[in-house]
Amino acid sequence: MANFLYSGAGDVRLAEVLAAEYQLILADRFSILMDPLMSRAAFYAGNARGKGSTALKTPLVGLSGYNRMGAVAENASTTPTSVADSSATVTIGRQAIERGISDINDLVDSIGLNVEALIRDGLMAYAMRWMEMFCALLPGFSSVVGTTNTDMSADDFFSAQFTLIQNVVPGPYLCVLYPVQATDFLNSIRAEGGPWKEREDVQTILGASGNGLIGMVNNIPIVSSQMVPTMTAGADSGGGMFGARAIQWASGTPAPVRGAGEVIYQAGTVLYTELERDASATLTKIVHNAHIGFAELEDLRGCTIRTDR
Amino acid sequence: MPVEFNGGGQIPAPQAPQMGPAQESRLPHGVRPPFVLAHHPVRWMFVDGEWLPDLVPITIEPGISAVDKAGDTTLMLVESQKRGRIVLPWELVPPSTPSGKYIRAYPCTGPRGALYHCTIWEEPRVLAGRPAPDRVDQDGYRAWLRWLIAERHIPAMQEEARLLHLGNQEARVARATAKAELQPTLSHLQERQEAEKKSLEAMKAASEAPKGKGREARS
Repeated sequence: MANFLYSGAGDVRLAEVLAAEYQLILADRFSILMDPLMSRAAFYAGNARGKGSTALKTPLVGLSGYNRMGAVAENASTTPTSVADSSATVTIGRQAIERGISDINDLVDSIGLNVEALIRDGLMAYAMRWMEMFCALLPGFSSVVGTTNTDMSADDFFSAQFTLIQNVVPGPYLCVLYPVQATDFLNSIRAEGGPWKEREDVQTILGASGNGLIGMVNNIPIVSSQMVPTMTAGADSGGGMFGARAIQWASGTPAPVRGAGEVIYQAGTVLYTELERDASATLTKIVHNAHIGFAELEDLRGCTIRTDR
Repeated sequence: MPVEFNGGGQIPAPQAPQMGPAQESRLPHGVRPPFVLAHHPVRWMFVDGEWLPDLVPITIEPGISAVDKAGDTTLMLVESQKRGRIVLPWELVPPSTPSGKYIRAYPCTGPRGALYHCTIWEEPRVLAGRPAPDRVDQDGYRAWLRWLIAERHIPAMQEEARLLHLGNQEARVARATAKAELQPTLSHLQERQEAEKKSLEAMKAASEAPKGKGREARS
């Protein structure tokens, strides 16, 4: 009697089956939007809902100590001091991502890759788009430290910190770097001498891994993100260090969508998801929308760190 | 003697993996939106003995830097001017530039029509199906920067900006010197101190006029 071997059991065995669940492909999934660092990162200019414009202008005024009193003689008359003012405008724009899945693909799902998963996908897609738009502004500050085509060093970190201190930018600061900038910085720490290198925070960051918040140095959190853009025709990365109110952002809460199919509003965000049905093609379309915008608020509150990509 | 299995045959010789059908020529890079470059009077970089403008990349996408919902850049230009920036149009390149612009786009992975934008001095590369570091034509880019100054599309570096950068470099020299003196046995700190000093001396010696390859510097 012949043995029933696997190689002869083609009718009752499968060549391969799926594992119990899917694994996410490696990607940068850290967004400051989802982190307590959010309070340091960007000033929220407001919501455009009902404002009559997609452009929100944030006024900047010179009060509360911007001008100081001066000595005036006993019986002399004072003259008015004008209030310094300027403004910075941020406009919101539509950000979206669409997914589609057929009924047959949805019904055979065995690993959780279905309509529900595509709906959940929208939240992180929004968060990463937020991070991408935020990082796009980092190369734009007029204060720049670092040397083109040269690895980032501890000196560059200090130069950025000193620039902000000299510009009387209130702390705490936040530093966002491209991963190569972050590793170059860690490598530079290894070559440092003196007592600074022995600080606990400096020693601790040498054990960093992954991306996102990788540690704190000099009380400044350091975020490593692939969303940091290039500069100098691609030769460099444009990371940055900044205090609060260097960058502003705005959003637009959607009005109730009339005449739509199912609409899902993600609590705590301006993201909303609509499901659209193409019955004749048995397609379920999932469209995520959000209206947000970013712009520089006050240039001197930030410093670009421009070093080798 | 070859081992026989239930099929009666021998172990088949290893074969090269079958490659799939040729893929559409799209970069595996993610979408990179279009952008313009802008000059700010304070932003200069010292490269190989000369001062060159350190241009600001401004992303052109709805919702970034005051670009409106339809992609109109009017408000972005106004905000840039308020900040003292000079926005450089895409067509601001020497007449001999083949594409006539300093930006180009490649199809990339993403939604239909997704494009990866970069300057004409960058060449996106792919290694084993994944993005590899771009090849950058540094010389070409720097020649364009010199052309911008020579053709007066960008004003020459102001003395105030030069003094600002010299001051920053002097601070770097001071820090490097302090570290070198603190740890005199660490040779790399001594080398760094020397490098920073040389850089400072070179900055002081550099003239404001651009140095061009095959182009005389204007006095």
